[in-house]
Amino acid sequence: MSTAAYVDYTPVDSEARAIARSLTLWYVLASTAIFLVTGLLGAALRQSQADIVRLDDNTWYAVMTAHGLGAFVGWAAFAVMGFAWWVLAEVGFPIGRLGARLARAAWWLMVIGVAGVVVTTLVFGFAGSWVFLYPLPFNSAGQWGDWVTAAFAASVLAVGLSIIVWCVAIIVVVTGPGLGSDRSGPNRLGAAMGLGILWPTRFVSAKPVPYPVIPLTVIAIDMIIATLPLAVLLVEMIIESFFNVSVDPLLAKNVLWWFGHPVVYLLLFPAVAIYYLLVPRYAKRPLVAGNIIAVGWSIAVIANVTVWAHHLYLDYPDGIQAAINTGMEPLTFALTLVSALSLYSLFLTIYRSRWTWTAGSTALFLGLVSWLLAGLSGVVNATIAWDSFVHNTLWIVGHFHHMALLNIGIVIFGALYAFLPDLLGRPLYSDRMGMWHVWITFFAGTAVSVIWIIQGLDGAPRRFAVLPSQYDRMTAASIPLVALLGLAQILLVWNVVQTLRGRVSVGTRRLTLGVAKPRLTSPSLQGFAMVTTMLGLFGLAAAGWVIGNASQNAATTGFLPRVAQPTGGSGAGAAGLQVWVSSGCGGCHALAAAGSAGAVGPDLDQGKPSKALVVARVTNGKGAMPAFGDQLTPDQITAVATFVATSAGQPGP
Amino acid sequence: MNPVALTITIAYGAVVLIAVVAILAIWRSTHSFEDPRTDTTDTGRLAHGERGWFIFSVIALGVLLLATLAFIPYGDNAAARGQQQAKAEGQQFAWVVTPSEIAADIPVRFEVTAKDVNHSFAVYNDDDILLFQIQAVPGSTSHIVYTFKNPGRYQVVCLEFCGVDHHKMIGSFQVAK
Repeated sequence: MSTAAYVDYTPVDSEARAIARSLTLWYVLASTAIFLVTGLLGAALRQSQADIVRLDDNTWYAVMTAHGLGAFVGWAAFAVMGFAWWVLAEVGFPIGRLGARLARAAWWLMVIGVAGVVVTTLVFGFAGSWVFLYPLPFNSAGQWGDWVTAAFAASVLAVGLSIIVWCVAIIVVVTGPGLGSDRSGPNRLGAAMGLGILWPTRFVSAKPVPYPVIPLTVIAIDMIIATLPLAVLLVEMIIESFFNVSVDPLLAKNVLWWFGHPVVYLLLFPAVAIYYLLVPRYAKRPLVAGNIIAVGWSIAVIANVTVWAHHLYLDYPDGIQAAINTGMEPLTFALTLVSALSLYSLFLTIYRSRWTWTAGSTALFLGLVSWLLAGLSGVVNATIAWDSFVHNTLWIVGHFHHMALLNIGIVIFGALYAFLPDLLGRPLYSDRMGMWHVWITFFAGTAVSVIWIIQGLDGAPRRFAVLPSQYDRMTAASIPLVALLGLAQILLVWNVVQTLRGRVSVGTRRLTLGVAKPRLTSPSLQGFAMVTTMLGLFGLAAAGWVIGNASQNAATTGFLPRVAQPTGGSGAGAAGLQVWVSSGCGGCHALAAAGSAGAVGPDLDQGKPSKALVVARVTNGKGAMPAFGDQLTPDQITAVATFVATSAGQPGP
Repeated sequence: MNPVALTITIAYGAVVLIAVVAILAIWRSTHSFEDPRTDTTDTGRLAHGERGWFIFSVIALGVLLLATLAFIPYGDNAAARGQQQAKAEGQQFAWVVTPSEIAADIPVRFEVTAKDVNHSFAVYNDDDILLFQIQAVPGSTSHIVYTFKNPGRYQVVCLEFCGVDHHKMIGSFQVAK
């Protein structure tokens, strides 16, 4: 086959192009709007942790829930799902009437689902996190009712159905006339996922399967397998909101991650399709790939839906789950081989090529950089011995923002800059502005992720509305970077809006007239940008190291306050405060004298319980209150009861 | 710093450094000092190198797998003689650890349960260094063995999101000589 076949695919005819164009624009505009809203929600979370404008606790967790599902699925997945239509048109796969109908249904389901998630969280206070670990949605500690859980589950179900419908549409398109095969359905599906590269006589197609089609086919197969059990769990949750049924929590956790892992690749694989299409185009030569890449994608289609339990590495109540988890480590490693091979192909396609540096191509290059670096931190997560340390710390938050925002997200921006002129039939308002946007996003986003990674290595928990004070300095350091990251998106919005209005910047006009040379593309300027980024990141890492060590030595507050020297009060009061703090009473109860503001249990300042009542409740528990009779000595219980009885209703320290 | 965290920092830092050098070399290779460019590249040979890279990746990951396999916390949980037994039960939003005092230098086997929703039993020392963690799943009992070397106060933190007061679900126990 000629090399040109890999660079210049024959696109579909103009009628089919019009369908793909309209679908892509709908998906991209909706997902970009979701990006702007959910991005702001993310910034709101971080600034609250830095104590600028503190959100109340349930609001913080509700915003976290909306941000998680909205940014991950409503933006990143939705955007790449949309670009898939354009990629397919570019490589000669017409969408057809059935495909277009399904694609439109998927769009509506996604928009309705994401809107439902936003309303149930931000308006009705559902704050169970977007992984809604069963049975948490039904144990809201009085924050939201079961019907809100039902509404939230129905919204997520709409999102899940959107994904399934999109997958069916993709399968319809990739096995359709674009492939040009008259074999059976399964055979055509095999050909579309690249098996013809390995077995050319068995899986035949009219022309070699374009590389971008392979990851789209693989993810379409996998997401159907991955999403169906989740849909069943969601239906169960809707029923449970009204009737007395339940599921085993460990089984529910497995079902959740059965979906939760592949959904990550719902972001990555279509992004890979974009890379496969655009990188050879900018490099002006075919993708550097041999047969092994087909082996890689054959591994992917199986491994992707069989590695879910690496999210359960720290759940091993029995031998079976432990055995499953252990098996997940080599399987997950096998899956990273697909990334390793794709990165090899893409980077070496760029190597020594006549690469054109534009906003779009720069975004793709920087996306590859993040893919490599975040992939390596993913290997750390995949290693059980290491995951048992970083699990549920901010390291994980750093890892997935690095991957989702700075690989997938930046590819979405790159695809936007690369495809928008074709999609709209007019030039981009300003490539230079796009370049600034891409570089600032890369720098600020990477720096924000690095701070999370450092905090995580320092043991900072993720999903904490209020972080203990030893992490404050690093959190504060990230705020200017979060602000920069947010402000940079104004450049994106301005560029897209002006392009939609048919405007062209003065700089672009000069370029098209040939009176100016492109700027910001010279090696020295790019080198400067890279060196600045690297120095900034290493500086942050070094600062994090120093701060981490310093805060370790300075005996600050920690998770639990040190109460060796309480201010005022008798000796008995001091001992009582000590027990109060060390037993975590403030987690549920408000008591001003102890500086506690827990909102779940009774407010002791208002209740003013007697000493005898406190002794009874602490010893034996009642309702939600656990019994501390075995954990605390009678003297300790007397001390805490005396402290509570005498200090309830008194102003705090 | 926790020794595992230190290992991760060094390993990740070293690999990232190599990756960054390779990335810079690839970036530089797209620019040429000659104008117009005349150099050519045999892309067929580059594609052939894919096989070598594949083998290298398999070996590297295999080495990592074998090197870390011994440190998987599973299987070390059977009750053995000479161990102390302790219970940790999580519920929204408190930990009850019994007994509240544990002896140093003797392995302690924690029986970890959750009363209502998923929690994670994570133990930090009083310098806020994470020592270990294990998920607490309602309806299941998990076990983890740890040997405390230093007497003092240890903090129990919930590391699995469990609701509105998740970040306040903190307790402690004492380790005595």
